Amino acid sequence: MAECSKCGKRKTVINLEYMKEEYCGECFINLYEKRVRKSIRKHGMIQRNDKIALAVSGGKDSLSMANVLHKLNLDVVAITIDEGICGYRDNSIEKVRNFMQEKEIPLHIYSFKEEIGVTVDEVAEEHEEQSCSYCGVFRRKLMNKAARELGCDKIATGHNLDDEVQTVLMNLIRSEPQRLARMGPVTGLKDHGKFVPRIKPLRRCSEKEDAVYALVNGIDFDDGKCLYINSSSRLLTRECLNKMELENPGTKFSILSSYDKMLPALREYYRGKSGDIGECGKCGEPTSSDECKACRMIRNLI
Amino acid sequence: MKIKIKLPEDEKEVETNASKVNDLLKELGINPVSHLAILNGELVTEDEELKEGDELDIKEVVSGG
Repeated sequence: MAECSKCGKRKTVINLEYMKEEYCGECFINLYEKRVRKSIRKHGMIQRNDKIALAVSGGKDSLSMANVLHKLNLDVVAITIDEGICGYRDNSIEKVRNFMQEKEIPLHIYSFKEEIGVTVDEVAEEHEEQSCSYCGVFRRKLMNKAARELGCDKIATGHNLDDEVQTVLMNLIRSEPQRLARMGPVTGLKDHGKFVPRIKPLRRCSEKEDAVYALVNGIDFDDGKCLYINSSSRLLTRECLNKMELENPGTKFSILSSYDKMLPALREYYRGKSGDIGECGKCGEPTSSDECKACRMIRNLI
Repeated sequence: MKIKIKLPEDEKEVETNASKVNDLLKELGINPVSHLAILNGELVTEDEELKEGDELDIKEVVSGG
């Protein structure tokens, strides 16, 4: 039986190759929560008196994020988006309900059908290859609207180290450096009264660490896969990165650290080049053109 | 020795000489970076030793999407 590198007593549950250490459940929880607190502090994700919208899906990432932020005694509400994916979202919403009830966190569920007028299942009937793109744009729009309606100052998402590094690489591969400027620990290039910035407290925790944190805390999460995930070009990037991480532990951290160092220069450059943020002529949501991307996409669906 | 393994898409009994979870994952071509190993119902690291009759549940940790 391997002993914990930290306490030297308990049985280990996770091998942290990039640190050349193995941790028991209890010591890992401390390490994980300390890392999340450090990310929040380092990037100024949360200010005093901020009301935080927890964007939760019921999976390991968002429920782990909600658990840590709940422990920090912040003013939080939970928002779940029901995209209308039959046989997937129904199960995870149940997990969210149970978790929020136990922690006494108010939960608000917004559905694509009611707010956007179309479900992802309906989009996929004709545009399965692009269902992830439609879903992402609709989800961000609805999340922003919901958080604003609930008086929130920030939206905390469960984006983890893997998500962040995959997105960095994908933006480089697609030659879209302006997107690199918009992402980051606190999203957004320019402020707008209707735009609620998104924060990513788990950006230095890998998806495996999120799963282990949830398991050792006894969090009942949904581990189902979205039915349309195979249409995502993210899978290849993910597989390549995991191979690189196996051969060279710490690769993902190195990529993220390099990106963080470049981010201020990227933001400075693209802030000067991007137009001012106004409001969509149709729905009133913040956008840099006359019509927001979600409204444009809806128009193309009709 | 014989080990009963449960994979994300399959459940089977394998004959192996692997002494540790990590060796078995290598045999199966599974990357430990993106998988959890649950041995006889308990979360373990890849360094855990295997013995005859063990039941190993291998879970992929992919984000839901």
